[in-house]
Amino acid sequence: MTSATNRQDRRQFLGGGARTVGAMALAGFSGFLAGRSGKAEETVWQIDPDVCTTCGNCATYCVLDESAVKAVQCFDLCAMCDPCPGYFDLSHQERTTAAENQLCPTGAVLRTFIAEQAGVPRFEYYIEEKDCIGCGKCVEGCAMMNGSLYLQVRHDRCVNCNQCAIAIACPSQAFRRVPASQPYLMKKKALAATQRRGS
Amino acid sequence: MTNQPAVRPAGLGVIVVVATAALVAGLAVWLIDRSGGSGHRLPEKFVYQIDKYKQIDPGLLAYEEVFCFDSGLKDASAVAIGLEDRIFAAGDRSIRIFDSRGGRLAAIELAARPSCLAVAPADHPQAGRVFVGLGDQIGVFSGEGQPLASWPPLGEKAILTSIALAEADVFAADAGQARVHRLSLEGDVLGAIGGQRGGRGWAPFAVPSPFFDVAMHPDGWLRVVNPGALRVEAYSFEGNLQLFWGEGGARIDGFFGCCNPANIAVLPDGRFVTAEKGLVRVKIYSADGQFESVVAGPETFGAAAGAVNESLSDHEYTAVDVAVDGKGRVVVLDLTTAKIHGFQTKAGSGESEAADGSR
Ligand code: SF4
Ligand code: SF4
Ligand code: SF4
Repeated sequence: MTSATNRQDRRQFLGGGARTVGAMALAGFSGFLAGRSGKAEETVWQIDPDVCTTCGNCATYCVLDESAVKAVQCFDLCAMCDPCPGYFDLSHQERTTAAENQLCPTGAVLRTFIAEQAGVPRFEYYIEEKDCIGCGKCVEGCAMMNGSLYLQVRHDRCVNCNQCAIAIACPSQAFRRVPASQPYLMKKKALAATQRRGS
Repeated sequence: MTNQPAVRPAGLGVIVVVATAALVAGLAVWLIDRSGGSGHRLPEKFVYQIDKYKQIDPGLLAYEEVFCFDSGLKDASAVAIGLEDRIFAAGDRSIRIFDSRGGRLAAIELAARPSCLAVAPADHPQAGRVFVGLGDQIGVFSGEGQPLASWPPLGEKAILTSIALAEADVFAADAGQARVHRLSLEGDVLGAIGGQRGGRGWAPFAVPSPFFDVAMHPDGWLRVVNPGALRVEAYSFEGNLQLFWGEGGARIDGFFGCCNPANIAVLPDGRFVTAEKGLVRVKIYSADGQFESVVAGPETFGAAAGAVNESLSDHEYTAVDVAVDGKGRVVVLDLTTAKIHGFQTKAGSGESEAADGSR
């Protein structure tokens, strides 16, 4: 039986294969350009997390089979809540780590009990990058409250395409080029929290 | 029959390879939607399904909007009801006073951003006085806006988020220190609830964000929202826990997310108005904490109340403050749009009468 799902799977498979080929070609081309670019500072793609709307495109438009975009945690911003809306599914029945209670479909958000503070349990939430596809679902959940999770292009994966396929597909123009020496952009709030801690 | 080796024209292989490559390239271009216009194409399980929780069952909506006007504040922070149902909206560095038609009656200019306020009701010994939280301290003003007192700061880390008035006591919720200060009407510190383990009046308030509300209840106990526990708790003035209610959950009878309700108000008959942040819902609970009905849902409030295509930073801290006026109307200040909304029961029965001044 041909179903819409089968068609979609095949389409995704073909799209994914084509993307990998494209990535290799584009990576080669950008390397070529970089070689010719003389002294101009090298730049890489990054997401401005204050502009990103977690539309989902980051998961599916990257030329890599597995997106170079991952969710990341700003620990300074996270309130370490027990009922974390970035961890628990909207319809969760119990506050346990059972798969059906988790918001992340791939189980990439890990929850670890840290300590009890003022009689309230506190948890650390950590993204297991190898399991994250960059869909942004946890980011949206977290943004409803504290907003410590956000999406980021991870440069151990990104092949720095000349024309980033996600940047073109991004509806909010959140992608921009940043100096390769400072390849990560933090949320303004996260930056302020980190600076507060440092001061 | 003579066996002859097959002869292929020179270059045919190259042509086949090039044609195949062109076909694959064409197919790839056709398959990849580079504009993003056809959406993310992710399976449904990867989509955050908040929309269905934003839809409020019309059968649960017991209130209708009867007024709405712009406070004109850039950075709105709190709302309270004063004498003769005047609406006090705090924000920027001022308090603006309106009638319920939006007519601006007066303004009180402040030296700092107001974070919360309460106005003493008609039956209070200091009727009409305005108590304003200014970061770490309380300022007191006459109803006409004359400064009367500036009480000492309540601690280096104090962040005052709510004030409740009893006949002879002032309670100030302090999100910075996760405690409720108890003061006299002259500003003398009488004690505290929460904040110090083991001490008298110790209570474990979990306050992950700067929303920590208190309100006086007609039964004589102070109500304190324990936001991280998603509960409303009742305390004696000495800080002894009497009862609590509330459960977490996105479903309509629960409190959404990690820390809610953000704000509460008490109807004269002892029922509660609760306001959640994130998923902005203003709801009514019975005096013992049973969910009853909805005043208004996310669709009523700011475009940033979880709307798509807004930047994520706009989503954060989407919240409203609530108060109750003498006609039993629920007055809501949308902290995102700075608009003031008034709601009354659909039947217009005025089942909630005179306000008690508690916010
Ligand atoms: S972005 Fe998606 S896949 Fe990655 S951790 Fe969040 S919910 Fe899971
Ligand atoms: S540049 Fe964009 S499309 Fe290319 S690998 Fe990096 S994130 Fe993916
Ligand atoms: S495509 Fe743009 S808006 Fe969508 S998730 Fe990626 S960075 Fe955010």
